Amino acid sequence: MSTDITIDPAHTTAVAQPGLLRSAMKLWRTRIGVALVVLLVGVAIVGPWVAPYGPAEFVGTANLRNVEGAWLGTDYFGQDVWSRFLHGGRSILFLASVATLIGFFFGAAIGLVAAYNRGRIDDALMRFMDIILAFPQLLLALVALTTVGPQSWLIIAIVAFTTIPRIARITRGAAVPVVERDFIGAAEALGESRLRIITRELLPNVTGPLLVEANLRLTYSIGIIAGLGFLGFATERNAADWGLMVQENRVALSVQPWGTVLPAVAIALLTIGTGLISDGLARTVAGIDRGRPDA
Amino acid sequence: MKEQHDLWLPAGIGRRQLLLGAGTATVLVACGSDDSSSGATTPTTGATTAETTGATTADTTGATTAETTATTVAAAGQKGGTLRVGVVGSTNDLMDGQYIVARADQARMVTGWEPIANYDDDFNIAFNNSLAEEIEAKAPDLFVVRLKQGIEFHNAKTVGAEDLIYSFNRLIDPALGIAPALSEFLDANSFKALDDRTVEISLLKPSVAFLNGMADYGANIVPVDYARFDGDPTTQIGTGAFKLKSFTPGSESVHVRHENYWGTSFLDEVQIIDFSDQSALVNALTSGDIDVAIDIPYAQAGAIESNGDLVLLESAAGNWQTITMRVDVAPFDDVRVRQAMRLIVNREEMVQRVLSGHGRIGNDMYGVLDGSYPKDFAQREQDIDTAKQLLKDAGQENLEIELFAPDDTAGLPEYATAFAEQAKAAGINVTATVLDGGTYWGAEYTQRAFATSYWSTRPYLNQVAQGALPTATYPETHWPPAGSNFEDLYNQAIAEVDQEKRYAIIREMQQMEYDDGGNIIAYFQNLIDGHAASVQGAVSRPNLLNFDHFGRGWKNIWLEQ
Repeated sequence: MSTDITIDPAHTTAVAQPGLLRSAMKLWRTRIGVALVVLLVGVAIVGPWVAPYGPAEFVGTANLRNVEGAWLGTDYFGQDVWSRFLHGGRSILFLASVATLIGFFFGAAIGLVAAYNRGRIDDALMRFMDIILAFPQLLLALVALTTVGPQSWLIIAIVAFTTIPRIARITRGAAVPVVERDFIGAAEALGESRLRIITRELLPNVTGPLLVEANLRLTYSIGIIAGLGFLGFATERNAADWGLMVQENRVALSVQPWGTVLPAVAIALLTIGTGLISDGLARTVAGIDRGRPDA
Repeated sequence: MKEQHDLWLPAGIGRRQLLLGAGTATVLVACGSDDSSSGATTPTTGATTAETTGATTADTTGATTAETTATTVAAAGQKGGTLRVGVVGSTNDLMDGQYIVARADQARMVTGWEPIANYDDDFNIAFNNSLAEEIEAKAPDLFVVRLKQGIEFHNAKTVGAEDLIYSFNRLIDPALGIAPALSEFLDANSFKALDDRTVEISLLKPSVAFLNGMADYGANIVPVDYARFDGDPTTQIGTGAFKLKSFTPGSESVHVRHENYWGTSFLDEVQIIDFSDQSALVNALTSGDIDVAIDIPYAQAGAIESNGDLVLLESAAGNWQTITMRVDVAPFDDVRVRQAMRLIVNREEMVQRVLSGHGRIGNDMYGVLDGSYPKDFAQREQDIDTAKQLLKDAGQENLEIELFAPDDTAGLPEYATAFAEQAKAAGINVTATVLDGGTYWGAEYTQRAFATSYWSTRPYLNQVAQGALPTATYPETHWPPAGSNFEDLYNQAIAEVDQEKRYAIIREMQQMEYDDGGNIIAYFQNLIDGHAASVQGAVSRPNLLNFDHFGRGWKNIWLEQ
């Protein structure tokens, strides 16, 4: 993060993010996290094309481990567990990523505006964020989904909505000290617009904490969306969805564990992966482990 | 199981209310047909013959069979021990000699009370596990019930005619609401005690199937002044093999041996323990905390089978699940659409998908344990090409329709989902919509054009009265279609005392439903229970209730010491 006084926005934006990521990748935890995420994202993207059966295709008697042509057996509904697994990652990754991105965009914008303007706007925005934060994330999602019904757009909206205040508070917290710096005053003295100052001067100087928080939020979003699937709020009945798979097959856990274990492990590895990336970024931003590339 | 008790509910009572609140009382009436060979006493050719044949048959079949069975089991069984039975229950559990709500109530009711008649393994009327010595049908509206001699209640009082009359009056007592629809056939003046153990019953209108009702497991005899459990276990007096020692709803009940029981029993004590869900129930069985688990989820049957210390008891039952099409509204008012839908179903796949293989395929007909069941009707199989042609002929080749299912009945959401999958092959778009149980069984129940439902087994005519008449309590398919003579045939059948003639009429009715009906019955479900290998006496056979009719009130069950 640059602390030099500068009036050259191009300079500040050019150096911050690539340096951070490059530094973070020197840590083993970040590399492992990236490897896990790449692996599971790869499964989610490529899986449907290599799956031997369709996600809802009947293969054999339900809940059997030994079924010809289905090497991990059948699930609660006579479908191939392996094929369902390969099909089941897209929805959770898509929903979690889009929700986090939306939450990130609006949360960062609110945090930066609040930090830059301070005063009444800051108070109003942050109190509003506090109100949103007061709602338990999962409970709010359950109420909305029960009322409207499980829709993709609603899951994205709820997760994004509850992500916004968390991002906003972190952004504001990181941006307030930056606003006090001289280079912001210099930009104002040069007559730059508020929008330009916020986006070109302020934002690049809080990228580190924002990336850490965004990764952390992505981890939570995956957990929440998987949890909603487990609770039966999948967008489509019998949809191939890792969270839903855990719920559907848990009754037969002792008979046919793959239907539950495989998606549960995938969700766990995905969240661990994003969590490790967050941790690596956070350590890099904070300067922890600096000089210990093997940490 | 719940709707097994709905026979007497008035049409105004919702199915949900029924499921949760109706009593035992499927009892008597309206229908059934299975008064055949070994069945007791319904006359075959008229009143005179009936009296002779009936009495003789009942005497022989009932008493002799009972004695033989008891002796056989007694020779094999070992006395003593406490049986721990697990069943899913809740604080809503109750104890009443004639009324149940849930499966846990069933398990408890059969310990303390016994019906007037029972079904044998062939689903014929028998008396070996019940209190009547004979039931004589003098006419379709006049029956004489004679009780076995010397049977004692738990309080040592001898069962008499006054108890039988009280039991019937309790069933039709509007204040208790156990079997309100029974009052259509009986009132307080219907009973006349002929001697201390014989009662003459005059029906308000004829029903040849009165016997079937008396063989229901809820048609139990309770002593005069009996009342539902209200905290004092000493008030729960019946004739069953075990009498109540303690009962805590939602927790457990303890039943001890009835020393003066008229039959044979082995156990010293039966504990019926509540579990909050089926997973916990199975875990308790596998860990040895209970000896018997009632109603194992299909998904976990394999876990029981693969455990050498446990035994899976699977019984072919007549329970069925159905996709219902309203024959009076579009698109199903066109018989070609109904026929196409029936041809879309891959029945074997349904059994494997929905029941994990624990069932057998259906043929869109019900009453599978009834002697009149049309086994010779051609088995309907998936035929997508014909289905497509029928839909095209009906102008419905691009049909888009919602198929509803409740979330509180295992199997129905899966049935709807599997049907929606199979329907894609016919080029139509069926969307399976699962609603919460309260909504599903509420005001819209029986009003939806395309829905799912489930039923316990009952004789054909009995089932017709429940769901296939304009006056049916649950007209899910709104059968019969306008202009049909189906109802006339029903009225003829229910008053026809000659079985052969009655079956001929029934067959005509069945043919109409087979060809044009609104039910898609893809399968019949098996009953599945698990028990420790040391538990003996339960037999896998077609049955109405779980665990071999709960070991006939647990009296057949013994523990290997």
